[in-house]
Amino acid sequence: MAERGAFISQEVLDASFKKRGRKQFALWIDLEYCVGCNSCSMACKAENNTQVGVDYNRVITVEEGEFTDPSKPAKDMRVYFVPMPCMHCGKPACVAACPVGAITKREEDGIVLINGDKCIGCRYCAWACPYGAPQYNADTQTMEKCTLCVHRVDKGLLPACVTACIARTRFFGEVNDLTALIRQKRAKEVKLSIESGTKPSTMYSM
Amino acid sequence: MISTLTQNSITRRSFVKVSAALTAAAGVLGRIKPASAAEWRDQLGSRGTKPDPISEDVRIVRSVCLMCHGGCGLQAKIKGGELIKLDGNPFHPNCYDYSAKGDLAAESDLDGGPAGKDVASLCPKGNAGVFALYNPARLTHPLKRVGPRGSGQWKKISWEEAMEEILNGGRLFKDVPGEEKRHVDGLNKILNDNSPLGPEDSAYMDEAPPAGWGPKRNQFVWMHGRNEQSPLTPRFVKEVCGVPHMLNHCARCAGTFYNVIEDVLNLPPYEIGAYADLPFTSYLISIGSNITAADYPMQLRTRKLQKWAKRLGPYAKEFKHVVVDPWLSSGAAKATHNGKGEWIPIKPAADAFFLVGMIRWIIDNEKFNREYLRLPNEKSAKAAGRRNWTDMTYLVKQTEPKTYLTAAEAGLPVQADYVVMAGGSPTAFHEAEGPADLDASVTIKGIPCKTVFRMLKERAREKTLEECDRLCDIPKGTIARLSREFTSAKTPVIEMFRGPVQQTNGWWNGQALCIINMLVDNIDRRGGFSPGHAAYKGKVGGTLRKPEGVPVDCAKKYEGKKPVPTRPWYPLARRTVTPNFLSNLKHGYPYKIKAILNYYNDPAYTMPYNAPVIENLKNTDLVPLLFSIDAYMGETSSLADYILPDTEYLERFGGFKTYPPVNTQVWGLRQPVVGELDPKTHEYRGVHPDARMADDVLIEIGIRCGLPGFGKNGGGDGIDLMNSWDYWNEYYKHEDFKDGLDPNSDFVKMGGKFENPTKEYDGEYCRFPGGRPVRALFAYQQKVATTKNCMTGSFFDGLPTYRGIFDCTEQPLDPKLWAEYPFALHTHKDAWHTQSRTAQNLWLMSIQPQNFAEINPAEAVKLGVVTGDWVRVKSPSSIPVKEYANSLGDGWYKFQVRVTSRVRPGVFSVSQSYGRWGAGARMWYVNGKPQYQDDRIGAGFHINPLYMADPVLKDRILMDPVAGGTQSYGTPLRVERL
Repeated sequence: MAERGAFISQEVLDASFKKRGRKQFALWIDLEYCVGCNSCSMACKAENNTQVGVDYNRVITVEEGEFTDPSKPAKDMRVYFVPMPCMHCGKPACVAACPVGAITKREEDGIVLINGDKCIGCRYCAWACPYGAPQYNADTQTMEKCTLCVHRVDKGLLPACVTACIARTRFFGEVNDLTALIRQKRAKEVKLSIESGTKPSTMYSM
Repeated sequence: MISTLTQNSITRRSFVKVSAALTAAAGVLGRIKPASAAEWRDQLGSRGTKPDPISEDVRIVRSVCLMCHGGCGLQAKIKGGELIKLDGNPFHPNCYDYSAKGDLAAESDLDGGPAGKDVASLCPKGNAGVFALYNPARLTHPLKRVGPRGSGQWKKISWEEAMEEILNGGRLFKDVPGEEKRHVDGLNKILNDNSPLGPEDSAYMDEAPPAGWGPKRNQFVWMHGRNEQSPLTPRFVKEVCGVPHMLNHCARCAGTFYNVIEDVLNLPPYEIGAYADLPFTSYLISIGSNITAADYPMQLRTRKLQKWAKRLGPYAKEFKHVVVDPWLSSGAAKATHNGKGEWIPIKPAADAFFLVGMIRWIIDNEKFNREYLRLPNEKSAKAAGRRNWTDMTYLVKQTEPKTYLTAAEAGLPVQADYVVMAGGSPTAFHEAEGPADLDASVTIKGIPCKTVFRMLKERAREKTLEECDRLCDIPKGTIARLSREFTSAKTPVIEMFRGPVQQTNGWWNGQALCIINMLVDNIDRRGGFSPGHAAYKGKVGGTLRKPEGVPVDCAKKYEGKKPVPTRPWYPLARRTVTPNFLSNLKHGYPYKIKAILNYYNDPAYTMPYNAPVIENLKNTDLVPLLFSIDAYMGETSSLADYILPDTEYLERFGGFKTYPPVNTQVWGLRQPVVGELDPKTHEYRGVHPDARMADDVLIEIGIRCGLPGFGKNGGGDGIDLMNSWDYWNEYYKHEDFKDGLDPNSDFVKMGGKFENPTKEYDGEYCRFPGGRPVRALFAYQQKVATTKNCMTGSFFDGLPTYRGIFDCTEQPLDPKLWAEYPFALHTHKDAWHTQSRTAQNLWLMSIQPQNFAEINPAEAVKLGVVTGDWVRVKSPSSIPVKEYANSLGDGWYKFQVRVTSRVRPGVFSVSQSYGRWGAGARMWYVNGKPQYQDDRIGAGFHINPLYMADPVLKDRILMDPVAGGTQSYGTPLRVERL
């Protein structure tokens, strides 16, 4: 079952989960509709039991333009909200930076995971990541980050941040399926920091 | 890091400090190999935080959220007795879009189990409820103060001690310096004293009505903030205790909004407001409505707007959203994102000019629906396929009191309350065969009369559109342009929330907005302005008291001998006017009180212009006994004599309805998601065994004071109401319910009763479950027009007025004030906060650790400040409040500034919910030991001490004289760089 009026049908999702061979699971966040509420951030905390100070998903607010003259229409302002989970990059900077090989990218679906047993808490990954994904857990003194809810994906369920989105503007799927949907919307696909070279999988549209 | 939780709770949540045992690091930089799937547990390792299990031994409990008042259903995942996750209840239409097979939703309609595919949403606050349940800031035992009120010094007492002292009184504070001889009357004495209040209780006997003030049991006052235990709580207050005042927070919240909609749109009371039916709206103006971050229900309105109106609805392509707000809200951000919609940065408190200006344009340009407005009665409305008609053709006498002309006054041979001009002659409204004259001025039997429409037209023409644009401080031509677009749209709606109505002119602003919608004939329509919500109801019987006498907030008609009363009265306010009570306290007006029970409430923090509220509540002469039921050491609770620790909302029985954006009938069941319920006695204990459900406390008070309505046979013969479970089990056996709290019933398993959510419309109108009669709408408010402002003796205006801020005598604020205080106060709420209960939730606080005073770059340049700098601020009436860390003395307060174009020039905007000094923000002590405290709770700033007091009364916020709404925006401030 999927919600009435779901943008991605259960059939497409089921097909994504069942796809064989190498694939990349990803998130598509349509920034046009994100209201910046942080429901995704809070659902993620509850699902993954992160402590205060560790946030796998953060939402940043971007303000563009200026408005100082009320005698003119406030047409130059643009404010939007950008949720930032892990990008599960194609060429993860965190994987390359980790001195002990504690971070791996799964072959089957491209999810990038930090192994807390191997991690020594040196924070090189946080330093290397252009997106702020790796977070330091001061109690265990190890790093952790968004796992794309691998524990849910493994069971054919959607990540917590996707089901929590009250604007229905976060989507999970296989990268090619999502790209097709973005084109269908005729939105410009936007990835963050293309120059970073890490090939982020998380996709955004405006 | 958060310190260890209390010993009583079992949790594997990461609130508990984990000792970091470092394993030996591998040290060798191995080759980086991709890993394979299905081994994620190995891939994540055993250290660090763990995600929730998806397993068979996870239990689901469905209940209702209470992080705000939206009433979203929730689905709790419980493992080993511990709450591990909250999602929405997929059966609750607030949280999920689905269709049911039958008339009612059934479990088989959805795959909603712990590993189900139908996963519904909650807003950020709802999701953070997991933290709330285990919050270290929660109170765990009854407390009694050992120092003066507000000293932060407490001792732990037993429930028995607490009840014994509160109910039986005595020299309760003999160990507190200055209170050694103070005798306090307990509730047992107060609630059983039915002798009349007399001169020993009131210095204003000449202001009492002929029947007197009422019985002395009225000296018990109940005050609540967030009450969702109805109808048990009003039963307690009005029928068990039998007192006439159940003070709520509506005057400070949105009471005027509900009041004006009920009166203008002619609805039964308490169906709660009106909103746009978004999926079919093609043009939306939101004025003073934080649509994607607040209002009711926030996540549903967001979803209806973002998913349906803008994407899936039939008018999605042409949909335009115009957001009228001094602040660029997230809703305005979305509206303007791709250039389709607009942000209109109106000056605070200028709403009247915008709204009545729109009425002017619509009338001048004849863009109202003439055919609809000419309908004079039910018969013609039905013949024209309408669900309602208006009073626009009804004649109103132009001599005071300005009532509708009646058939008798017109010399007609029939009985009718309204007369219209039809076919050239005065006709009883119900006898008019076709359309009546809309725009008429006639003299009948020597009485000059005008139609409501004519009066409205003349009123709207008192100002030019140019003046209106100027007073709103928006570009010339804006109101005309928007009015043109609005009236050309297929399904236009203008909606509001607190912005226009929480003002002294608030009643009339709300009336104007409703009238705009009436002019375009969208009331009750699909895609239109849809009011009311039908909830399922139950019942509990029993022999009960009836309240008598005058409520302490003076929300009644003034009938005293003295011509002008000492303090204002509010005969038209259908919700209570608590700020009036809180300031009247100082004067012992209208009569002295003896005890306040403060339930889930924080007026010391939340009331605009809260300095006198704090002062009065601390005063043991004014309030001899003050006790709180609170789950936290809230600001107001911190001033109390006793605090009785409440359970959190995830540990309660009860239930809640929802709001007009839902067109189908709903009731959400609230039931504990953790804890233990004794199978025989049905006594409940939650995470903290010494915290008790408020219901249980109230029932015990009722029983021990010998009051009717609770206890043995409290619900009628053979129906014992000994605790919360008893009450709700009985409630859910009657009327729309039948199963009680049977755990095997669909009602309990699904967490409520939900009509098929797709049954939303009846042709072109929103369906109203249970039906609603075809009815008249009243643009003209006769009740208001024939009520006098008791402070002036003049009648109120029955139509919207072009006014800004005025005092209780309806005099505008001195314009000279603005020269010295040129900034306008503004506030808003972020999506992840609720007024006064989210700052102590560190998950939510971590989203934005502090707030700022936000000012426009143009003002920043003038002040010579940049983001991060400090300013000092005062209002014409601000006084120091020592509880505020940023109080500089002399009424100045310091704020840290953030410069942003998201607030218009001239505005000083500080969001609510920050700047707390209770709930763990400040250190407090029990038996001399420091308690849970975290600086992060008190981060940021609070604007409330800086609201302007009514210049006539001096010790109370400005309020709307009709429905009592506080002036929450636009009051003058002086800002200087520090």
